[in-house]
Amino acid sequence: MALAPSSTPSTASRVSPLWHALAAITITLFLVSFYLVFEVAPVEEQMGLVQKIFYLHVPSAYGMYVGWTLSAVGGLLFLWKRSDRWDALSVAGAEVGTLFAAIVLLTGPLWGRKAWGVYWAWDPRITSTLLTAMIYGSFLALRSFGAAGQAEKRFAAALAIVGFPLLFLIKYSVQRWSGQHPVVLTGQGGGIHPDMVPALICFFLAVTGFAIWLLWTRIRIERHRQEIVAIELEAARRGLGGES
Amino acid sequence: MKRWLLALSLFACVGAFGALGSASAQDAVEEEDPQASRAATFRAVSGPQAERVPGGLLTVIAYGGAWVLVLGYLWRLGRMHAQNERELSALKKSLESNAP
Repeated sequence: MALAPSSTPSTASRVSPLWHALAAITITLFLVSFYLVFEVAPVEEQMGLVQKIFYLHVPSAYGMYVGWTLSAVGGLLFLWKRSDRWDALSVAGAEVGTLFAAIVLLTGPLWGRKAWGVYWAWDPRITSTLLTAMIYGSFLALRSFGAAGQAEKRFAAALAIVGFPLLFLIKYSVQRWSGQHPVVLTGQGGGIHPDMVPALICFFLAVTGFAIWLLWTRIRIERHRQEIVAIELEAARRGLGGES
Repeated sequence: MKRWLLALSLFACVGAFGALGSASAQDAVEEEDPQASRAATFRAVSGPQAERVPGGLLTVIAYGGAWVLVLGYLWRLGRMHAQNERELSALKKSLESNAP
């Protein structure tokens, strides 16, 4: 491996203008979303103000699905190709998915306090979401032990793949085992008021932009980290004292 | 005797009109706007009705908490990036000092 400066991550640290543009678009979409949620969308008849948590909760659940799915895809491709590029995707997906899952698991109970009178109910969808979050949490705990070796990477990839089928369990648990979780947006639900739709769509777009931006940023950081570790190992192998 | 009977009848009439007036006033209170009623009277309740959940506060906590989580993650990303930069700088120095 060449140790020339051109091969070091410093050259790769130049940020693409598209990255800045995506950040700006995402911030704008969030500002518009907040305006639509709190100014334009009507207050719900039964739930009152607390229904506005819905606009944050549902798109966050979608961000959770996207993150964890990409983590599983990255894990699968890493086990197949053994390329660190796919490992970076798996790590980034797990982190972003878990971030959105934390938002889902924070906002859901706050809504439940008003709707059900309790913060937590062992509903099939809520329980399966918690279980999946624990699996991806294990992934992140494993990867937080420092510079991961091949064994840790393979084990983490397997965890990401094991967690993936549970996403279907979260999705279809409401239909299979009923439970208390609302099904407003599915075919079983009564739908939402037409004036609530723009706020929800805008929030979905904002979360999509934010998820892509976070994944992009996290993958970039992980790739730099991998390159630094590779250069350090190569320098140590050549006896250049590169280990710092 | 006649005077006593007259006084008694007058007292009964006043009482009857008073009771009738009170009853009609109560009906009027029951039929009035609940918001106005809340402003005018305090009624005690017990059991599940006694608890009112503040929806606005829960919404503020939900949105505020979500942003705390997001900002915390962005801060973590910033730290990881800074650590990469530090390690890269140390690596460069180390390689330069060991260069032939």
